[in-house]
Amino acid sequence: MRRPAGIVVALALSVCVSAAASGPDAADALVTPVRVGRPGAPLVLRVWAQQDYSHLAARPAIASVFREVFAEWARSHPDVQLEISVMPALEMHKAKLLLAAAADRLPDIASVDSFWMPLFLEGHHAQPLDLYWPAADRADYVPFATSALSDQEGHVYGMWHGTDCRMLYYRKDLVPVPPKTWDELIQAASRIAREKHIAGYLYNAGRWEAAVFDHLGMFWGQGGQLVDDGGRPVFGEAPNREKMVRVLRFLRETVTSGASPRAVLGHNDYQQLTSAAIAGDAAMFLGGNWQLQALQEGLSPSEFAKWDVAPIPQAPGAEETTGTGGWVWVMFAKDPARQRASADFLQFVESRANAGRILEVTGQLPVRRSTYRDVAFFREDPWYAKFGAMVAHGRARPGVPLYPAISEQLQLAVGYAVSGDKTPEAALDDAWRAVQAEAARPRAATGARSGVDPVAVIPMALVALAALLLLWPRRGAASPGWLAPALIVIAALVAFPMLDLVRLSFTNTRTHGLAYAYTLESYRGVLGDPAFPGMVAVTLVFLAASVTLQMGLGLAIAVLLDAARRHRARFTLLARIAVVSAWIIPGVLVGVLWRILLIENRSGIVNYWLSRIGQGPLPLVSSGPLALTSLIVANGWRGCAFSMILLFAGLQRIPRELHEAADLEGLGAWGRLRVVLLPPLRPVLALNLALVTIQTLNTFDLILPLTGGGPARRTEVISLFMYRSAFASMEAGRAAAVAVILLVLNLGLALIAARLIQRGGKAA
Amino acid sequence: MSAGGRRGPYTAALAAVAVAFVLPMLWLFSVSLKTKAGVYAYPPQWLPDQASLENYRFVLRRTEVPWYLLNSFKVALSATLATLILGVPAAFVLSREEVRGRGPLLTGLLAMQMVSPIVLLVPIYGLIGRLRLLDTHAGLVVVYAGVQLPFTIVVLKNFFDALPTSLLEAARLDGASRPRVLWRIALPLVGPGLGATATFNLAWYWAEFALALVLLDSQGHFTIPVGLFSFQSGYETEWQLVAAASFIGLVPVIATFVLLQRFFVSGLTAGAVKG
Repeated sequence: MRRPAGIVVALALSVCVSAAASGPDAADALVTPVRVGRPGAPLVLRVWAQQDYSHLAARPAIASVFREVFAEWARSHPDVQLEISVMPALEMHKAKLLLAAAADRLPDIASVDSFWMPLFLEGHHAQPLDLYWPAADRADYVPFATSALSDQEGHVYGMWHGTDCRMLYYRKDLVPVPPKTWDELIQAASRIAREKHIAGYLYNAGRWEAAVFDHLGMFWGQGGQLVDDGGRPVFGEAPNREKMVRVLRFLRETVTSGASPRAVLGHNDYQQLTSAAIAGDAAMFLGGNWQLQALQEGLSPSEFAKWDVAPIPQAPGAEETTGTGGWVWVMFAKDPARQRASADFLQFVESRANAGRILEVTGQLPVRRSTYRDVAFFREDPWYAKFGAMVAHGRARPGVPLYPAISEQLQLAVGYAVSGDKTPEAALDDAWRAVQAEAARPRAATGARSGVDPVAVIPMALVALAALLLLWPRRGAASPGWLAPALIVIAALVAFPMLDLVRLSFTNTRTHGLAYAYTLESYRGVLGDPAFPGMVAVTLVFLAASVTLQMGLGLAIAVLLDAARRHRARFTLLARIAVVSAWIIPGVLVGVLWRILLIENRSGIVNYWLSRIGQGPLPLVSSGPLALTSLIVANGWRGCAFSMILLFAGLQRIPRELHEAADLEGLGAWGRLRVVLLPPLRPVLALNLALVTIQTLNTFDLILPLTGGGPARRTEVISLFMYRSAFASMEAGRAAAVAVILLVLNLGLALIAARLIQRGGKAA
Repeated sequence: MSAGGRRGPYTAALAAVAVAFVLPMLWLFSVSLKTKAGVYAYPPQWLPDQASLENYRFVLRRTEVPWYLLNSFKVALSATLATLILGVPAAFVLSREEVRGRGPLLTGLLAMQMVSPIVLLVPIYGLIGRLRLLDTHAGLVVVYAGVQLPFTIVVLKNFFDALPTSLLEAARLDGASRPRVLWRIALPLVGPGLGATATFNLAWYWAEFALALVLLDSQGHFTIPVGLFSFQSGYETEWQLVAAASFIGLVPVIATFVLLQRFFVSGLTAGAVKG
């Protein structure tokens, strides 16, 4: 064993050393992944950028333009450095910003999705840029880019940096005439899917903003309204309800007619659409103008020439409409010196020269009029003429603070309708009910709760009292000095949070709000949540199957190891190390690893094997039941080592004579297991069951990277449900109520396990 | 039938088990050597035609992954050290001296050891926010120490319990102070126990995801698990890069584990079985 270990260590060291040594070389010294500017510069600005609009973009062309622009800025600004952080997942970006706003620790600058602006204007977090940004330059922007971000006094609260619109991408060789209506689309797409065995039509139906926004054009095109002029949601009432139901019905039909694969439920990134198109696996998809570049880079010129764009197909008689969005730089800095430096940085990056250069590679549509006029690329490119014509039919999302909640509910509705879990009508009505409930709630107050909350002191007082009782010095007992530090840390960071959790569960507090009241609302809200029964079912299936698989595999391997050891077979140590290493690597890594094994086309290794036995390729992470199965298998692979270790230790305590007796009796494998092995193993099995149940109940790390709880909410177990409530929906009170349920289950199982351990200890 | 007489089938079965667990990791390595086209090549290749370390070069030079590694080393090592410094004296006193309420305290520790910190995400986020330690490694280390202390104390106490009483009492009678008894006599004897808890904690801290996800904001502060999660979302379709980044996160763990696996397994069984 010594040599292989040595090799692994040498490899590890070399990787680490090269990581350390690969620090920035001279040319890159001013632009590192996390810092831009001279390291010693006195003023440090915190910037939360968009990954795809930064030097860390996945696409090399974008990354290199930003590296150049940032390096130029850094050379001319030796006294300022930027601490850049990019937030790749949209949901996380928004949540982190809202939480930072509540904790008064917003970055100096952030790039935000234009439809989040109401959230930051509402709390007066966004700072006016017009003091530092000359009116002459602002006049160069298309009207909506400044008017949408201005208040009545004429202050401008953001700098738009690129807009976009949605459209149908189609292959001219397969679809000679682009479909104008849904029926034409479904007909063409299902015919291609049948004849060519590729996806006829792809779109976003995963649980994210685009699943809704991409399809709003189809709703607006029929004259539908999400909210009325007063900002009140109306999409679930007549006449809008029928229009939205029609959209959902159409989406369901794309799958039932075979026009689209179920895999659309797993699409939660436009890049997935581009990749499918590049792989030759799609004839049409609903995408955005920015995807053109990636398509062009990924395809050979002759293949690329087959593609064209057209307006989004609509319901019969509906008007051409597309959704326009975009990103906005916002300044949160309050200190004048930081404001000046921040505004200066933004104007540098978005200057006429740089904006043109950047948009040319990001593929976003310019918001500066001069860019269309002065930059040859935008002036002459035939594609941009088409995009420009479509933007003319563009519509932005309503700038109301409730929009994110509307979108979140409609995302679920799209998922349920497309998967067929609910009828389009039921999916929409459920979303409508949830949005109305949300609208009826008081907005998160940002002011501090007035006065001291006497109830909030109770958990702290209880924990302090318990610690004091344990540590109070008395004659003959140990001086508390040795025990106190550890107990105080445990009391503060484990015991106090446990009690505080119970208190929080009886409030309606929001994760990003300070005001709250004591109420039973959270428990009622959780139990009445239409998603709650589904979550319980998913959790129970996951728990039962996962625990069985882990213990079954663990027992099988342990018995094998034990038998092999008695027969002096080789590889016992190797097998043990292999099994345990799956358990020791971080859960996130296991999730990512399995995500790669389960890649959903025929080149994914598992799907390749499945297709070799005539079973694939299967939607292993995008179909509900298969995704849950994948999760259970992955968790079994990772978790069985724990059972194996415990049971193997138990098996080794079985006296040798028993085995010899079994040999003499000529017992078969099954008889030996039943008569010799299992009876003495019973207490260890009981303990194992309790411990594995606790661990499985709390599984979280593996799920987020593997399925993210999707498709729809089909793999959302209780821990993920709780996390989402607290850190995506910002419902700390409800999350606490769920966590209390989890805590009770944890403590119950832990006490059982503790009892089993103590009993085992006495017997031994 | 003599023992060892039929070892062939067992050897084969064990090899199969080892392969089933190592193969996925080898596939990860294989993907990490491919080009983007290679990832989508059909049929998939175990030994890619154009294997290169280019993805590793990119990940280490052009992304935040080196920072994630460094942060993880920093956080995991400081948390392990903090846990030992707080846990050793507490476990020693609990094992060797009279402590009021020892029974309930031990049961409480045993129970707390098994409660997942996932349950406490919301109140811990609030607490660390009030302490103004969000997005700092100090905040994360304090929480980590608190969460793993119950386990550490319980396991170390068992190791201290196993020491012969006579030995320590003789030293006390000779006039040695308590710190001296612990430092000079007890600690050297429980070396394996210290190694076991330290290794186990190190692995736990290296892998921890939920708390780091909630308590850290800046990419520059992320640890490996949060960093990899964010890397996966950011490079969603560049699986070859995701694979390279993951493999980099995997190597230190496997290496440490292979070196210290004896400690590790004994720590685990000590914590979970002996109680």
